[in-house]
Amino acid sequence: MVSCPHLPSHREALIGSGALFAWTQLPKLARAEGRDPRMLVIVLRGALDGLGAVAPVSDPGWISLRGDRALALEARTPALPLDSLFALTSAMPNLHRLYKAQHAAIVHATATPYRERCHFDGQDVLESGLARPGTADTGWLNRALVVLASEGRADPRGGRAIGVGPVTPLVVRGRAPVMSWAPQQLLPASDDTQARLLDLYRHTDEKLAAALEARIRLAALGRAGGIVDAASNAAQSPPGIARVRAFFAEAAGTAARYLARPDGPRVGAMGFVGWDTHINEGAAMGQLANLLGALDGALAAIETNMGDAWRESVVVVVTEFGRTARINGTDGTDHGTATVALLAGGALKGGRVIADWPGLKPDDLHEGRDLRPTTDLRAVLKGLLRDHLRVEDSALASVVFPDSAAVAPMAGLVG
Amino acid sequence: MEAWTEPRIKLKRPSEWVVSMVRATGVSQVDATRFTAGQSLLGEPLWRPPSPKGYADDEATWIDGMGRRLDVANNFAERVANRVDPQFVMDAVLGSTISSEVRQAVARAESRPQALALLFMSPEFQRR
Repeated sequence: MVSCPHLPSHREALIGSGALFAWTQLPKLARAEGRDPRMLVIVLRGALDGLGAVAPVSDPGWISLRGDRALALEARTPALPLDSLFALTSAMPNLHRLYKAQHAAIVHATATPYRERCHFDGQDVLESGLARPGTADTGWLNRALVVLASEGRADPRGGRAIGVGPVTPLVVRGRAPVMSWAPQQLLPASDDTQARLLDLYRHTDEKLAAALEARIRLAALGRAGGIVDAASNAAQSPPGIARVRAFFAEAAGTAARYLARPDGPRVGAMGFVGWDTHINEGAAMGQLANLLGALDGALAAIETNMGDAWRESVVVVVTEFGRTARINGTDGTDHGTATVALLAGGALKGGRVIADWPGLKPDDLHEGRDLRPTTDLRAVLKGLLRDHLRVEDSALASVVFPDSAAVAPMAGLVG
Repeated sequence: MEAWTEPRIKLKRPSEWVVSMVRATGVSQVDATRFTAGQSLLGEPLWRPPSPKGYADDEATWIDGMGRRLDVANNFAERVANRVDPQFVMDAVLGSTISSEVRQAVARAESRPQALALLFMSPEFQRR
């Protein structure tokens, strides 16, 4: 049982609808340098298994942790080599291509300061930029926008908002006004939500379980007879993943189209749900591989739709915490600590896995079970905000990430 | 056993269930069109019953709509999740009547919107 001790009532919360929330001003200092930087933050809710996305395939402890569920270079679906230690899941060929072109970098063994295992609190810490959960109603990205000198609105005649998304995620909530856009079709209840509900009914209410099972069978039949999306490898994919792929690509691709426009926003944020892989994780082939493939498609859509602006773009993919180093009894992984942050964009100094690798021996693991965090995620975010958008050091250490003076911004990520 | 401790066995009609969701979350302003559209989607359009007898009030009529209820619950949860804490709703509305299974499913949800959707779909919330 995962307990969430810091759950005050009526507190503002988060949403993972894939909507874009964006800031429509132009960053003044970067513009003075002749640059027009774009930044898009994607929050993966549910806790991404960093080891299932980017595996330390040459670490002697790796195979013994994951057994035949481990990503490996010599496997039926071989992982894509990154450097002498790491390889990327075969589900992300676009990210691999960008990495080879030095347009992507991976930070490994990174974590926020949060060290417990509750999603809601972990997401609050990730998005608020505070060291502890439970007190925030603004996010680090919005506070960075507040302190960032502006050269005025990108489109002086434009309205403040181009549409009304359902709910603004915490990371961009705050004083700086943001516009919002949401896909017309909200994503229906996910297969994961459906599976959790069915499990609940099976333990509590037979009639409701039977009714829900009937709906799931019907939906599967409908999909089997429906459109086959070649890119999604539909033959091996469970029902629903084609829908998820389309949703990720539409949401991310539309975000990029707005950010690319000369009179469009320059900074945006969005969230994707579904990463809580306790059961049948399927890092090599299965649930997680499918989701990472959908994320890879979203990155490709961003690159395409950014056009020339890709050169000046950074996409930051982050999650609330990682997952256990070992596979659990249900072929999944449980809530853990360190994970990866994925960075993509033409403005990056990419082609690198940035990691102070902690190792995987039992003594190396955090509390004997999780990948040990060796890089504070705030250092990465501060480095990007400083060197890409030109937020000042002093503001980063106080307003944007309060009490983080001891966490130096990571230098040299862009440029 | 006193009346108010009777087990909840009767499935709420769509209208009752939709009103329950809105009331449980303390939302005081609703978009009436969206609200009635949700009821229509679930087969109980406002003021338009299929016969003069009105809407059926038995479980068999409504239980097949469970899948659609899930989509409506999911949609509503996403819209209100920034104002509503699932744990608070669970304690305030269902209190001690809620099963440990539901409590656990809500606490383990991967996000607050998912937690709320599971709560709205729980047997305790759907039955009266």
